[in-house]
Amino acid sequence: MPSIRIATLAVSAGAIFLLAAMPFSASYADGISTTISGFGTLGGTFVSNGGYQFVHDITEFKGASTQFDPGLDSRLGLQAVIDFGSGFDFTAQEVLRQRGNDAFSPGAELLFVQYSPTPMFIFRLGRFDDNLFLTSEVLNVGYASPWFEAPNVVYGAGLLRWIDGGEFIGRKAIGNVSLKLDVAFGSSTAAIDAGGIMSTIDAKNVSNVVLSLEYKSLTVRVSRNSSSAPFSLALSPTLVTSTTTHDEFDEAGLYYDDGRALLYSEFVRRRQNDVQLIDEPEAQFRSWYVAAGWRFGALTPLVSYGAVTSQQTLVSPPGTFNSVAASLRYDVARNIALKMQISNAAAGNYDFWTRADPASTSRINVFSLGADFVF
Amino acid sequence: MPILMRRWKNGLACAALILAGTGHAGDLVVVMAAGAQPLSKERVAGVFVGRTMDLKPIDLPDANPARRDFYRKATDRDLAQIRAVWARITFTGLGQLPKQLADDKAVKLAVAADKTAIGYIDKADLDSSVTVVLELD
Repeated sequence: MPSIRIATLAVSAGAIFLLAAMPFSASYADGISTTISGFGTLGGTFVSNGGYQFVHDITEFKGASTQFDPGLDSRLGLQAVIDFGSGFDFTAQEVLRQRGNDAFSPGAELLFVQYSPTPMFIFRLGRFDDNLFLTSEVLNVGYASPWFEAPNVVYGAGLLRWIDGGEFIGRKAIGNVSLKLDVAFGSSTAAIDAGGIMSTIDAKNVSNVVLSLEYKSLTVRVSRNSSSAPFSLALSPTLVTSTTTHDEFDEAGLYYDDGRALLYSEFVRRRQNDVQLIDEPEAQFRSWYVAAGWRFGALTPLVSYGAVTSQQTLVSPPGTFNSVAASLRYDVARNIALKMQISNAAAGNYDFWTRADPASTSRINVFSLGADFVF
Repeated sequence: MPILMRRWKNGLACAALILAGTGHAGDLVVVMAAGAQPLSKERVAGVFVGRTMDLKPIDLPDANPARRDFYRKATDRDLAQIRAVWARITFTGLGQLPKQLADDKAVKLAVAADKTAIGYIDKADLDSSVTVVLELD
């Protein structure tokens, strides 16, 4: 944990320094230009049952209970891009948000140099988004999404938010069809609270391959993400089992937006090897969701339904849990969207609560409200 | 009767003002440098929503009513939707918002000087410095 904090603070300090040193937008005679932009969310969440705390995923240690909690959803991001010309640029994105058990603290979400010799090819080195699911790249940028909370049954599993390493993006348009290949490799870390056990995922050999196709209003994509991380568990005061966990995600998603109708859907399969001596993985499941909406001028109502089917694992018994949600986006002013969302999930769903109760048949409502903005 | 006539004329005047406030002065054309080939609406939409990056989109300011008309006609999206689309591109480091120029004259100058630039102007402002690649009715 301390090593993560030191590394995070060092990267953040560098990003803050670079951001503070730049004007909002400027061009210089030698062809170098800088652009600063930003995004944020001011909002919060509360739940209908005081026995449960809602979290987006287990990197959040403290959840929202029956009191309106602005900590989980509020954030502020600043991004600076220095364009050196000739296809080279540098991007730094610093986000102030609640991390782990901390109060609000800054962290570098993007910090990379990029070379694009032609619009078809992009090469990156540094820290970039883990493009795990359909909207993983913009989880912090609420304004870019129709909902306030992305469906937890899928997005709750995305614990690694970035990759430190290299990335290649290839793009090719064939008629009205656009193809995109995104290949990334590197390492990542995340501090988690798995059912009260605090630990750190120190992931190596993180690889992510995403192939997407866009045709008119439709985008479809398939992806595979894999990583390895050491895992130790004390079975007794004298017996500790140590394993390298190989974690794999297979994902297929589609997104349709013709200006009026909206449709999002994803299917995810997660597989892990068994922990030695226990013969059970830490996590293994299949999950999916469908979300559909319609734009009525500035108003965009959206409903979603999703489910997760877990196998027997170290932290959860087998079971299937569904969730439903209804949200409303109101584009109230230029660059500002007000949103509200009501989600309903089972008390046993590990994707929603800090301490799930699989034996309970209760269902709990999650109420969210806020404003997303960009500048 | 004269009162009814006045009300009718006032009503027409109000309707004209409302229409003037919601529309722009004339038809829009999408332009590139001289000699460019015609493009489909889908191709133009792809450039202005960041789906393809081989052409450089040139935009007009937010306050210009032609901007809203252009995006509605070319991409079937309103300005808030376009802002959301570009937020995703910008904050993943994949591109920057289209450059906004002050008026049609500036757009023509930029497009004429760069074969990969593409912009939109009022049809009434067309001249031989640029080529129409798509007409938007």
